Amino acid sequence: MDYILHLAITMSIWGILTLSLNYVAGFTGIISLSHATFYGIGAYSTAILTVKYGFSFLLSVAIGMFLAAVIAYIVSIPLLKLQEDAFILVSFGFAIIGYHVLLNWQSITNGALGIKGIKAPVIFGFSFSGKPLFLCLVLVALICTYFILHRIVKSPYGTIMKNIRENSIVASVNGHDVTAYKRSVYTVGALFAALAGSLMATFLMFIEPKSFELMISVFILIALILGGMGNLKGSILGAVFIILIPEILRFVGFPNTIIGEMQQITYGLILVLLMILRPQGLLGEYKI
Amino acid sequence: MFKRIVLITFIFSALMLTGCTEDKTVSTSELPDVIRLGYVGPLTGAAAAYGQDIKAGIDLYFSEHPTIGDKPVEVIYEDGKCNGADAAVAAQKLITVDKVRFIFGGGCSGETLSMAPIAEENKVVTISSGSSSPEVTTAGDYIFRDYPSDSKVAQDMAAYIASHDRKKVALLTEQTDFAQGYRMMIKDSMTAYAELELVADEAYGVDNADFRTLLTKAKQQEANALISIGQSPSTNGFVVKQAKELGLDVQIYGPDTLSGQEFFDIAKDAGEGVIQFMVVPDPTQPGYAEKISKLPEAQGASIFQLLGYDAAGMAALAIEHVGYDATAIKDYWYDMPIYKGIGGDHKFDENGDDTTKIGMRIAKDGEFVMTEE
Repeated sequence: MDYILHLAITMSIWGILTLSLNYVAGFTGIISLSHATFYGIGAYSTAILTVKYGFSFLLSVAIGMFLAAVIAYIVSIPLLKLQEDAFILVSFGFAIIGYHVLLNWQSITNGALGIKGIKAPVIFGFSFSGKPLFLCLVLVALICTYFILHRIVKSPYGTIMKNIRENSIVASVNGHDVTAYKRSVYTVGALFAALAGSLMATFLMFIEPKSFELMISVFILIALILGGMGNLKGSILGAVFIILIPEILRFVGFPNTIIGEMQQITYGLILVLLMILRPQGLLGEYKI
Repeated sequence: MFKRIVLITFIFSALMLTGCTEDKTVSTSELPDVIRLGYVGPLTGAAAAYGQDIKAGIDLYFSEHPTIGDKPVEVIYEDGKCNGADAAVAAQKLITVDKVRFIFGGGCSGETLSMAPIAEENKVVTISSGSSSPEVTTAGDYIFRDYPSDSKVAQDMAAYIASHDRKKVALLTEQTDFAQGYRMMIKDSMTAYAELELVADEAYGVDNADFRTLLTKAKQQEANALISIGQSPSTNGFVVKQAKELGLDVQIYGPDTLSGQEFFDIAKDAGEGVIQFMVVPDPTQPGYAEKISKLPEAQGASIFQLLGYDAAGMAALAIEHVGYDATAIKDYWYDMPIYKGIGGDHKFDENGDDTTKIGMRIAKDGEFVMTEE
């Protein structure tokens, strides 16, 4: 049962992460490869503030989200001046910078050694230690994220986001400040990615820069595309798939001599097949 | 719709809460019909070479000793991908689904540190043959390793350099967690010796093969000692070769990642005289040559194979003595006399760290040989 709970928690955290990227990429068309950086900012903020400075969990999460939002806003100023391919490449560069900051700013992040001993969340004196309680906490966070993002995308603001995604020139001609909209979307996306990071840090009780490298951004994007861009339920489904497929492969019974390689190859094949059979994702409303 | 989601969530959570209260596995001192042991290490990805080497050592031991007390042994291998999140879920699967009480791993420090809270909570013993982070020392009572901490190797290296003439040190490290962890430890250790001067501290990207700019900087700073911490023998080989090409008059030092034929294939004559600090296997140990001949060619370094073999041997010994009970195995290991392994003598201290002696080898005639110094 602990194993199922572990997977359920991981899927829920990835659900938040994928939802937040869907908000940015699926609804507004900003294909960003820097999401792992904001995920890392949340994780490191919570780890550093709770372990080194004794901050409460909630305060550390709030600061992490705020910090991610501020950095996202600042970064978005030069980034969002770029269009499509150029933006993707530069966001890729930003993810690399983020990883190296975590790796090399040793006085703050403890560098390659990572931070261990991160305590389970305590909220108003109630400890969420133990997987069942932690699952309740992450499910609440997931539902809140879903609900907030759902309200936004269904609002007139959300309609403008989708207009920008479909044709930013038309949106601009209609009098919308496209850059300002994109900037606010990118900032809100980073804020929720940081929330996922804070939860992951307190769940694993240990973080290291490697957990927030470029490939994580790629996997978040894969989960999003798999579930379907522009559909919030699809994001949760994509997160479930991206976590569940490799776990199912653990039970396939590949020969011990090539077990790791076979699992990875099969995982890749399944993702390729899913993309071929369903290019818009499982519940997709928008295709890149 | 929202109400429905909330309701489903609470029902689901309540089911989880009820279901989980009685899921703690009871330890037993009797041997089960099949002794299932777990393994978590990098079997794919950039660090796979080391994970595969440790696995090869474990495989060899249990192919030679397929039973413990007449009960067959089965090792269940899981890929931790040298990643904390993957290692944690792999360990959780081994403990919950396969009911293992003992795990070989993690192969990387990040794996070990992510598995540690789960292993401690479930009272499962783990032993790592590849984690070098000093953080592992305090990871928990059930967490052991037969690979030395970076800090221990770094202290020995700094002490050695301080006791010799060449004291202006240049430090070249790869941008990997292993190398950066080492870098931190070396810098810390050097502060204990006022006579040592760090004149260059340069990091380079993974898989870089051109170090001329960094080496030129070290030359301009008049470095006369160079510590090369690359992740692979080939990377270190390029550093050594290019240092000679640029005419650096330096004594070169490195860790066990210098071991490997690629180092000499690339460095050639420039490799001569390079000093390596590492866990030193004892070639005079009975059976050493036989084991080396039976093991496949190392993908990373043969020491990981030997330490994997020794970890399996120590696990079998403990289980034979106290049964397949994790707490009893842990207690046995803390009190265990010196274990004469193929990869060296092993004895655990109060933190589960191996008190393995760090040795020194020098490159001579295309191979690293022991030095008495």
